[in-house]
Amino acid sequence: MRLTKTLCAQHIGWHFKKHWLVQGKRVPKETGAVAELLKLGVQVKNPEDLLNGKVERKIVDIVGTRVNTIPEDSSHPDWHSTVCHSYSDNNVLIGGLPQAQVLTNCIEIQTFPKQIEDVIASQQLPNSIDKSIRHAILASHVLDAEQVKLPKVRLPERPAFNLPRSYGISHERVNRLLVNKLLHETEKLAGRSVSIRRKLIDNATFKTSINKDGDLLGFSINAEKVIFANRAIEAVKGKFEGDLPDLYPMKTTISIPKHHIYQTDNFYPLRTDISCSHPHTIFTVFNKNLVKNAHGSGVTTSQLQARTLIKAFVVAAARARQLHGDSVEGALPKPIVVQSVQTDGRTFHFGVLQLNTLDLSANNPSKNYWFHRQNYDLFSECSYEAGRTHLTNYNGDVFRIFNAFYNN
Amino acid sequence: MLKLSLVNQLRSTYKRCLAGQSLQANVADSEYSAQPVYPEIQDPSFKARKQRDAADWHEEIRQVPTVEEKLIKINIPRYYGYKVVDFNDSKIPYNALPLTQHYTRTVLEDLPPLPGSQVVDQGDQPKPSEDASFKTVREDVIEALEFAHDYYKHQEKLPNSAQPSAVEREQILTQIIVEQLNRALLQALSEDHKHLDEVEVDYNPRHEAFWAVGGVDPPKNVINSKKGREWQKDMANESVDRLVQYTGTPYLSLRHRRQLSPWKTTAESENIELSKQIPRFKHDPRTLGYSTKHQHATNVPGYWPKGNEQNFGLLSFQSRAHLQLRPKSYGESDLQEALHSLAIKSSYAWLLAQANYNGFNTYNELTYPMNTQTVITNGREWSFYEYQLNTLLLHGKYQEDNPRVNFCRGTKPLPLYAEISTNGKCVDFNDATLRQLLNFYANVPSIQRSNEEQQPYVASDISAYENPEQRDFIAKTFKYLASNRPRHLELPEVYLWEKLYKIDNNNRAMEAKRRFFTLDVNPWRRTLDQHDKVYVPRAIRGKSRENRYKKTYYP
Repeated sequence: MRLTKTLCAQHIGWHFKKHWLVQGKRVPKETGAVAELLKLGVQVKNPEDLLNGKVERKIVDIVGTRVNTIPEDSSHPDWHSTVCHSYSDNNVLIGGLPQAQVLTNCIEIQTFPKQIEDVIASQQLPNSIDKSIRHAILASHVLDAEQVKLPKVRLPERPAFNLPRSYGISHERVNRLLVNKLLHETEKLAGRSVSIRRKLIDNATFKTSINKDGDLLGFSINAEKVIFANRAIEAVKGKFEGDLPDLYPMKTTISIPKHHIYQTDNFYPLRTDISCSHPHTIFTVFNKNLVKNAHGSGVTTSQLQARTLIKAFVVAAARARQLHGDSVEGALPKPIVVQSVQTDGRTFHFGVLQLNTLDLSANNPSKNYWFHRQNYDLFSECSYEAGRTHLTNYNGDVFRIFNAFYNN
Repeated sequence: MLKLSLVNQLRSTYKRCLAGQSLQANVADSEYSAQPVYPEIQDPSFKARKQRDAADWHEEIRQVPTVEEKLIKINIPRYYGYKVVDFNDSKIPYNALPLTQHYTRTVLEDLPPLPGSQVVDQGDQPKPSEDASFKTVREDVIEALEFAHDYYKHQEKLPNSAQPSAVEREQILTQIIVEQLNRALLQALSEDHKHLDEVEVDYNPRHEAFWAVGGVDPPKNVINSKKGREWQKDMANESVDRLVQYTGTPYLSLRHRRQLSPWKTTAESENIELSKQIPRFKHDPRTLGYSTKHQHATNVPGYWPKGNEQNFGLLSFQSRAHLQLRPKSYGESDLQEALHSLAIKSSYAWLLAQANYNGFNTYNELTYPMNTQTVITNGREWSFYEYQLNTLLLHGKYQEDNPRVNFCRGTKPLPLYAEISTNGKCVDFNDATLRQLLNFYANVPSIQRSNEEQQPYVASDISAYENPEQRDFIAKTFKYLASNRPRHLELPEVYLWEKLYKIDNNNRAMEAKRRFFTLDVNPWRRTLDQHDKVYVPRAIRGKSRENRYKKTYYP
C-alpha cells in the first residue's frame, strides 16, 4: 500500500443529503401536552391512526384455473397436534422383517400352515400346465406390445453416463398381466365350483390406524390385486410359540415418516353385506424405482419380506375394524387370516398372516402369526434378444404354491 | 467367319423349307422360336409408369420373407414417417359413418335377431338343460354386475381421492364391469364350450393398423404443385391415396388359435354392384375434424408377431366413454352412426393388424376372409357387432375396381339392466342382451388352416435366421419403428422468415446455400435407410479396416 498524504477534502453535497435524512426523521419532543390533556380528561389519539386508518379488505373468491393449495401447517383441516407415523406404499422398514414383526406383534413361523403345505405336496396338476405358465410369463414380460418410455438405467460404474432411453412394457403392466394370467390358469384348473366363491379386484385401497405403546401408527396401502372370498379362511389349527426379536437400540417406528396432517379413519374396499367380502389373498407389486430406503440404498430381502407382512397386516386390521367397529381393541373374537403375495415380476414372496389380536403393545402375551417361506424366483431371465425369446431356469414350484394359495 | 456361318445357316433353313419340311424340327435346340414372342407392350405414359412402379413395389413387399421385414419394408420410403390421418377410438366427429365406410370398404347391415327360442326347440339340446345353464350364467352375471357397482361406489367414498372426469369415471367403472363379466362368463361357459379354455385374454391391449385409401380428392397443395408442371396439369384433380393410421385400446380382447367361421360366402362378398353402393366421402377427412400427423406405419394387434399361437381375434370390448364429449345437438341418429363407425373402424383395424401378422397388408390382398366380434359398452348399454374382412385393397384404382367388400352387422345399443338400485340390486335385467353376449362367447372358432394356406406370403421367421446380427437388426428396427419414439435430431424446419425472404422472394441471393431448401433437397423424401452406419470400434473389430461399419439388413 502506498503511503500518501491523506486527502481531507469532503463532498459537501453528500453531507447535505445525510443531514437531510437525519433531520427528516425528527422525533417530536415530549412537550408534556399529552399529560396535561389526559389530566383534563381529554382523549388523545395518535395522528397516524386518524390519517392512515385500517381498511378491512374483502377477500374475493375467484374461480381460478386450479384449486388453491391448502397450506400444510396448523391451519390445515386435518392437522393434529399428536404426530402420526404414516406408513404408505413407498416406505420401507429399515429394520426389515424383525421390525415389522415387532410393529405388528407377529411371531415368525418359517413354513406355511399345514393345510397349505399338504395341498402343495399333494396337488395333481396336468402336464401341460408348465407350458401354459411359460407362455404366460413370456406373454406378460416380452410379447405384450405396449411401448412406453421406461425409467432411466444407470450404470453403477459410470453413474454420469446417459444411456439411450429404452421403450417397452411398463413394470406395472408386466405385473398386472402376469398376475392376471397366472390367476386365469389357476381358475381354469379350479373350475367354476371354486372360482364362483372368489372375486377379484384391481388396485384396492386399505387404510387403518393403530395405537402402539403410545405411538400412533397410520397405514394407507394399495394392493394391486385382491382376491375376496365368500367365506373367511379358517384359523390355523395349533398354538405357536415364539418371541419377538429385540430391536434395541432401534425404536420400532424408525424410518416411518412422521406427519401432523393425517386422517385416522378406517377403509376397507367392500361393504360387509356383500357375499364375497372376506379378504383371501392380496397381490402387491414391488417396484424398485418407487420403493426405496430413505437414504437411497437398495431394498434388502428382509425389508421386502417385511413389506409383504405389513400389507397383509393392514388388510387384516382394516377388516377387523370394519367387522367389529373402530373401537375394537385387544384379542379378536375370531382370528382373521390373510394371504399375502409380493412380486416384482420375477421374485415371489408368499406369506400367511393370522391376526389374533389388535393389541400391539410389547407386553401383550398373545401374538399374531406370520407364516412364510423364503423368496422364490419364477425364472432367472426372461428376455427378447436378437429376435428370439429366452426364458431360463423356469421354476415350476412357484405356480404350485400360487395354486395352493388360491384354493385354500 | 461369323458372316459365313450365318449365311450357311440361312441357306440350310431355306433348303429345308424348299423340301417342304417344317421349321419346328429345329426349334428346340436353337434360340429362335417359331412364333415370335414379343415382350409385353408397356404404356410409356407417366401415369402408367407410376402405377407400374407401385405395383412392382407391392410385389416386392409380397416377396419379403418375414412378417417383421414386411412391416419394415412398408416404412422404407419415409425416414420421418408418413403423413397419416389420425383415426383413433376416442374421437368420432359428426357424420363420421360415410367416411368410415369408405375408408374401410364396409357394407353395414343389421345383426339378424338371435335364433332364440324357436331354434332351440329343434336343436340337439333339450330346452330345459339349456334354460338351466342359462339361469346359472344369468345369476353369475347379475352377481358380477352388482359386485362391480358396489365396489366402485364404495371406492368413490374414499376421502381425498382426486375427482376424475365423467369420461374417466365411465372408463373405470366399465373396465371393472367388463373384467368381472368376462371372468364370470368364461367360468360359467367353459364347461360346455371347450374352446374358451384356450382363449387368451388381453387387458387394454394396443391395437394399431395402417392402410391406404383411394378415391379421396387431392389436397390443395398437391393440386397447386401439379398445376405448376405443364405435363401434370391434366392430372391435377385426380384423387391421391390417403394413408390412415388407427390407434385404439379396448377394455379387453380375447384371442384364439383358430379362426371364426365366415358368415358371408365368397360369392356374396364379390359383388361389384354392392361395392359401388358403399358411400364415398371424397372430401378431405380434415373437413370433418380428423387431424393428420407424421408417424411410421404400425400394425399391432396387441402382441408381437410369432410370439403367440393365439393369432386370431375372437371378441373385443370397446369403450364408448368419449362419446359423452359429443354435443347433444348432434342428435340421436348421429350417436347411433358414431357407434356404428366406432365398431367398423375398430374391427377393421384389429383384423387388418392380425392380417399383417399373417403376411397380408394393405397392398397384398387377403386370400381368405377373417372374422371378429366387437362389443361396444358403457356397462349398461351394449352394442354387438360382427365383422367380416374380405378385402384389404382400398388404394388407388382398387377403390373402383375391387369387387370385394367387407361386411359389418350390428345391433342398436341394448340395455343389460335398467339401473342399479340404491341397495345395490340389479333392476330389470335384460335377458335378450345377455343371450346376445353369450352367443358371442359361444361362437366356436372352428377354422384351422395349414401353415401354407394361412400364411401364403410368409416364407420364414426371423428367429430362424442364422445370422444373429441380422436377427438383432431386424428385431430392433421393427420395435423402433413400432414405438414411434421421436427422432434423435429434430425434424428439418423452414422458419417463417426464410419462407418470406428466401423462398417466396429471393431477397438474399448472395447468401451461401446451406439450408436444405436452397440445395433443392426435400427432407420428407429421405428414405429409412439413408443414415450414417454405426461405427464399430477397433476394440471390437480388431485391426482390419474392412468391417468398420455395422451392416444394415433392410429388406
